[in-house]
Amino acid sequence: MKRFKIKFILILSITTFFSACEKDFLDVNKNPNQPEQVEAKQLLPTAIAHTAYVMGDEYQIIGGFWSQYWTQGPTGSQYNIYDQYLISNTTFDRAWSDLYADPLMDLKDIIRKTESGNSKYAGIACILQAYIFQVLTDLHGDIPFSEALKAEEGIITPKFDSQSDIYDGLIPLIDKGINYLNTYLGTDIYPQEDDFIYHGDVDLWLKFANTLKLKIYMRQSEVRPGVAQAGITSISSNGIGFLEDGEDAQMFFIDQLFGQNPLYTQIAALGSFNILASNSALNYLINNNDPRIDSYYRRATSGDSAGLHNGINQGQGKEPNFGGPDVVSGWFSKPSFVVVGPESPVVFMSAAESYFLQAEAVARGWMTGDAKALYESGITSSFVHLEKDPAEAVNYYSQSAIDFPTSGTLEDQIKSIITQKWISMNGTESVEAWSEWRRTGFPDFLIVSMASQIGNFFPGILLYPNSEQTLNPNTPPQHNVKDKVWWDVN
Amino acid sequence: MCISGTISAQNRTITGKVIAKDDGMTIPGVSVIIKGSTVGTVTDINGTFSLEVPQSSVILVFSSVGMKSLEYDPGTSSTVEIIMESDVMKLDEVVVTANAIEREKRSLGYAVTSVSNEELTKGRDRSILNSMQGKVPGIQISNGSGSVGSSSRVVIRGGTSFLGNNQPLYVIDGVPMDNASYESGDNLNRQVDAGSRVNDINPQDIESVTVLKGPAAAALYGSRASNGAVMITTKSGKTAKTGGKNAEMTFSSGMTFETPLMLPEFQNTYGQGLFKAPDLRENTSWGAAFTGEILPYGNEVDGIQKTKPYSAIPDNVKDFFDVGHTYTNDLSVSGGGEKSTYYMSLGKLTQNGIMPGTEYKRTTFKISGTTQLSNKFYSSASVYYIKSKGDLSIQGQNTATSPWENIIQTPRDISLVDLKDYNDKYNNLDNFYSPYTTNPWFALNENSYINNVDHLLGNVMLGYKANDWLDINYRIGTDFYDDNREEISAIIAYTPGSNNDEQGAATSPGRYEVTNITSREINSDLMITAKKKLTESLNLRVLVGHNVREKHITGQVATANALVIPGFYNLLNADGPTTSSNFLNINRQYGIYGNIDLSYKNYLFLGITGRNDWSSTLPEKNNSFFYPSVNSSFVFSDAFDLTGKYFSFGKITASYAKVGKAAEPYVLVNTYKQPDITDGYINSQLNFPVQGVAGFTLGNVVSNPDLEPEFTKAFEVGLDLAFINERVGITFNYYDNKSEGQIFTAPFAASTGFGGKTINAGVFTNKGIEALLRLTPIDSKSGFRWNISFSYTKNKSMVEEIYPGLDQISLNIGQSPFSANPGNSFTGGSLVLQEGQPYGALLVTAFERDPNGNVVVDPTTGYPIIASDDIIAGTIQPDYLAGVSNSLSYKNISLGFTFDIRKGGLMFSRTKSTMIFAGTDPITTYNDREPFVIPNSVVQNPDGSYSPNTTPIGDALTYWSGFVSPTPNETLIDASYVKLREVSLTYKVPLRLIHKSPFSAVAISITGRNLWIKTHKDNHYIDPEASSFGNGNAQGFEYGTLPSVKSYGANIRLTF
Repeated sequence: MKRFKIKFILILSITTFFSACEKDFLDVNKNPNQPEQVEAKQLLPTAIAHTAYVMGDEYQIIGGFWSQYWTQGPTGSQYNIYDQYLISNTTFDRAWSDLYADPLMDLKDIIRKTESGNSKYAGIACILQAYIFQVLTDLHGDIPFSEALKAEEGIITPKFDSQSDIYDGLIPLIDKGINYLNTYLGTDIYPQEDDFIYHGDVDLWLKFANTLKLKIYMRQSEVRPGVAQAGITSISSNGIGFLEDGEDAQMFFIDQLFGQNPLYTQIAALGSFNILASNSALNYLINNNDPRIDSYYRRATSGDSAGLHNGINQGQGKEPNFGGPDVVSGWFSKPSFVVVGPESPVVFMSAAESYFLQAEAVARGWMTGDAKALYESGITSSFVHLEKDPAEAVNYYSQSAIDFPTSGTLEDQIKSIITQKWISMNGTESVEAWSEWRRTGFPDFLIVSMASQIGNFFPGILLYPNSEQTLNPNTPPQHNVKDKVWWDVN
Repeated sequence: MCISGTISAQNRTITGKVIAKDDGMTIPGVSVIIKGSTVGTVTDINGTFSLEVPQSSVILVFSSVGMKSLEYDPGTSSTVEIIMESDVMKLDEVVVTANAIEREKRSLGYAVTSVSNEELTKGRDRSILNSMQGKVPGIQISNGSGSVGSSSRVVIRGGTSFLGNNQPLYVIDGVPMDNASYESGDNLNRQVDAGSRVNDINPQDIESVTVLKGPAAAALYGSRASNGAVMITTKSGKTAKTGGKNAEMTFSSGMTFETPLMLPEFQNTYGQGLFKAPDLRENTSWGAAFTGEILPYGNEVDGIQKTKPYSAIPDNVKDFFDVGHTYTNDLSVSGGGEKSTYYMSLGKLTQNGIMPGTEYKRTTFKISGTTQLSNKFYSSASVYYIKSKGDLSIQGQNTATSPWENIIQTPRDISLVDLKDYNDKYNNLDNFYSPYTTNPWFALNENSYINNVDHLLGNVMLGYKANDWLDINYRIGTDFYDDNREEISAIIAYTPGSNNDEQGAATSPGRYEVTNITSREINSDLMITAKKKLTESLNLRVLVGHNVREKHITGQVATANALVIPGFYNLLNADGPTTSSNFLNINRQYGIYGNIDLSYKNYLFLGITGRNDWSSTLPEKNNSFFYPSVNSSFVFSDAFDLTGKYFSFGKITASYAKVGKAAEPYVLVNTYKQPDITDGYINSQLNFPVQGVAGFTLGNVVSNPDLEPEFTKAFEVGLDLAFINERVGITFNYYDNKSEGQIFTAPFAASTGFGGKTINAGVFTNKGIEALLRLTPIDSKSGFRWNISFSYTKNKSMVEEIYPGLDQISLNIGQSPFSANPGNSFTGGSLVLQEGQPYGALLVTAFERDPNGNVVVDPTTGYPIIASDDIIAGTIQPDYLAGVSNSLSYKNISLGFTFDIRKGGLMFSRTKSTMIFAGTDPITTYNDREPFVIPNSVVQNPDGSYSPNTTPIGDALTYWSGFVSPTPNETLIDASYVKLREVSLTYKVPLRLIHKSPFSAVAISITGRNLWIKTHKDNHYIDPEASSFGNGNAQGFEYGTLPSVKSYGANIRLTF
């Protein structure tokens, strides 16, 4: 009897013990699985890698189709809607959400963590933000900018700024970054291997910033030539300079699962029969004896063209009975492992692009220099990037069809510059090439996809993502894919 | 005393036997009393009695638990045979309510439904939840698929939470348990239904299940019971005791066979190819019409190509499946004496699924006992151990691992059975006929998902009955399980230069993953109960209690994402670094509660409860919350003495309750996470550390230090009526539940930099009726009896309000079953909460339609125009659920069958989408696949009006596979069904045949489950009960789920 009483009292005291220690007992809500604080050096690599993933994957593919480097293969159907121009409001939802909620927000977090003492990180973060915002507005038109990334401040339905306002806002954002980079606080921590692009080389980041400004101003050449000219004149003399050979802004990958180039992994997941060479680009390379052809495309492996290059007219691959019942993707050229291999870099901005931008600025008279030399440097830089012999570049641009039209009209010169820029961006900076085509109309031999479901029109813009339309009432009325962005006035 | 003295003068003896009407068996333990006296006896083990009665005329009163009391006038007979019938209406039955308190049902002011062991074991399903389907009004039970060991989901009265857990609380012998279902990592591509933990329990060990439907019923359990509670009472030794025996042993053994209940209907007119022309590598049936000619097929291997007749194989898919079979063997021993009882059981179930090679094994072991320690102390203890192992089906859309995905795409002329030897040179990876799919037999045999669960449920209780009015009782219990999983995906590679290498078929680097989840829940309850008779007619019962609980879950996952040596599955075979992660979740809560029950003359009842909880998951300032309830019951038939020849019983009830619910752990503060960098395709991702550099990303949920508990207010009224000697009974309940201040992550547009913020907002209501009509149309003297019951449930759920400025949130949060990828031809659909819509609306991409519902087409091409905005196509909620249960008995034979009916609601079917894509669906043979003008199509005129369309489409293939298949609004199906849920025929061997054997009872049954289904006329694809996403809130999606099964078999039950 007594034994039981003791047990009973024991149990009662256990129960009261819980109540007595109530505060400690309930104090178990600190997340043991995720840290509440990290440092900038753990955020910068994520922001760069995530941006590279979007640029080098989803955007590389749509850019590659709409710049007509690539077209849908007959035996697949993965990217039919790109050739049909039938993209929907969910097609780029992931890319949009990823860029805003991850890299852009992580970069903002870096800035607020480091602006008062670790300013090299803050500087890089501002410049990368500007880079991403430009890509987004070039693709989607008006987007949230001035009120973006402010959920913590209570702004949960950011307004959409006009493209011109965004463009006007990008320059001060880059200047802010340049200021941070140029500020020495004595306690500065320089990024090292956590900066996948320049390993903490501040001078290169400054050049990247200046070249980015050049790109931003140049994009306004048709819609606001005055602004473009004034801007370019000012940055060409600020002493920072522009990216040069060997200074490509790019992130490399390694040939190990979950470390590979993102487009390579998507092709591995979906089969290599979807993305095949488009005749628009392939024929240009063939017709101009371009030795870079095997850097951009793998040759056909079977059929009548085995060992040769063989493309498909843009959008023709899905026409009924195309190639007959035995058609296989091996009959056609495919993106090469130089541009879409497991270790291929994702290029944010190449030195070639820098030279072509400068060449155009000089040609337009907005900058001093030798347009022909810059043009040739651009071509040479592209060869170097692809690990080709620079001497081959000389042979290439010495051909009369490629030779810079020094005595031609401005139109002729721009046509040469942008067409060469377009071919140099094949598979590496496809989105930028598409934007430049929209701005200038070059190359002038792209065709409306034979699979077009929107009639005899080219696409001009990406739609607003479904998630933004649903959750942000400030989202403007949905675009038509035929619509044009602000700076696309031709 | 005095009376018995006078009687003893001149006596006579009456002997007799009591027999049960249901089965003709004798009934031991029946009390026999002379009316108006205390003189009486009890029937012995053979159901016989002998009683001395006065010479004068007497009336004998027979009564027994579960039987209708009976008065009998023996006249001058000295031997009598009494036939007693079971108390079917159970209006005075005792039910188990919150905290295992037994209450008379008549006193409850809220709705409860009980299901007995007999009803649970009739269909021989391994799951007690599946066994309740169609038997309980107000409750929706769905079983994910026909794969072995699959999970079940229960929702009572439509749930209470936007995004939180909407399943009821499960309580086994007073101790809460978890019905969690941890999904495999990838719902879309490699979906595996790894079961839910309540399904571990062996139905044979259950005495009864009681469903407490509203929050009112479960106020005493606190927040977790806000969705109602399912109280499971396991068997104890008292069964033997009430049977008048010291010990009883029962053995039952059964075997059932399983075949697919419903397979899709396929077309048998066109074979392999494209555009009505042959293509020997196609995975689709868009080729020429069948001719029966002998034609070559497949790839040429070593210079030889095989031939076969070019004709359809109508039973191709059916022939792929095995006949599944399940063996169950259960042994139990129970017994007891004056002061103690015990129960032990051992059960073994072995199931081989219809998908060849899949199996599920479950062993259950239970031991429990009760003891009266001294006059005042009593105690009980129970240990229940379950070991289960499953080799489970892999479902989903990935052709490399999902056999079903390959099966439904197979051209109608290619024999699946002939592909079985996947090492054969024509069937292997290199030379398999199609580079676009994988040999289903390879997918089936070379990939697997194995899970091993050790599950322990235990509790100890000690009570002290201080005096006749005060009782103190303490119980501590645990629900503990360890879930170990192993996922194997084979390497897929091709010999360079081989047929499929040339054609760029998809490859896989192989994968091996081990997962270990350990969950432990501890629950401690102290209860003090006082009962007092205040006046002759007024009784008071007061209960106060204290409860502490802790839930502790840990998990570890390690993955080799690529393999070196084919066929060797171990982490050390990883090609490149393995990835691993672990987590720990702790959730604690304690509460105090009280309950006051008043009863007046046993016809008017009032109950009041109150509880205060303190939760670890809320901010300190908001972590204490109180909620009350009140309920009342009035048995007016007794109060006004209305019972008579036609009217037997009448009761009205009403209740109101408020229940609070705390948050999940760790939602208050935003943290940094491992980056999730991927495009959504298999193995297309970037994992940190990248090139030796570690990386984190800011979490996407804005911190909220002000979070509060969410509350549900529930009101219900009920009416219980019985007529004509209780041969007609009606139970009717109406409820109106309103949940406010929902805790959910309000999604923000990505441009805010965040995915959302966990907030309190939103209003969610459920209103509904539940009705149960019970009839006994035939109850003949010959012993033939027919009972029928109709149950009807209509729940109207409504998302009244979400969040200012937000009228829609996605239910797919955290699961994202629909990737936002380009080219993924099955995007464009999601399940959302939409203001003004029922819970779970389908938001889908659709064809543009004019105001009259005609399809708007492109005037130049004749193909449909895809609407620029997604539309709400409807809801996953049914209009109503109904069930019809019949039981017919004649002497020793009884026949029972249950129909389960669901009307309305929509769901997305990937099977339909894939069949249209692959041209195997009969609807794709429309107009002999020649170009046609889309029926009822229109074109839009420049002025906005519409004119009939006259432009035919270019070709049928493009229309069906390019427009219909990838547009989810076109691949929705009506989820209505009528199912013959259960049939059982039981024969109880009459005692006279076995009285010389060691058995006291022998019963043989033939059972069947899901024998027949009727679906909506347009649904020739799948059983609408299918769900790809386990038992979570995201229902209404079938993403390549295995067909459900019908089962039939026989079993025998022996009682010693």
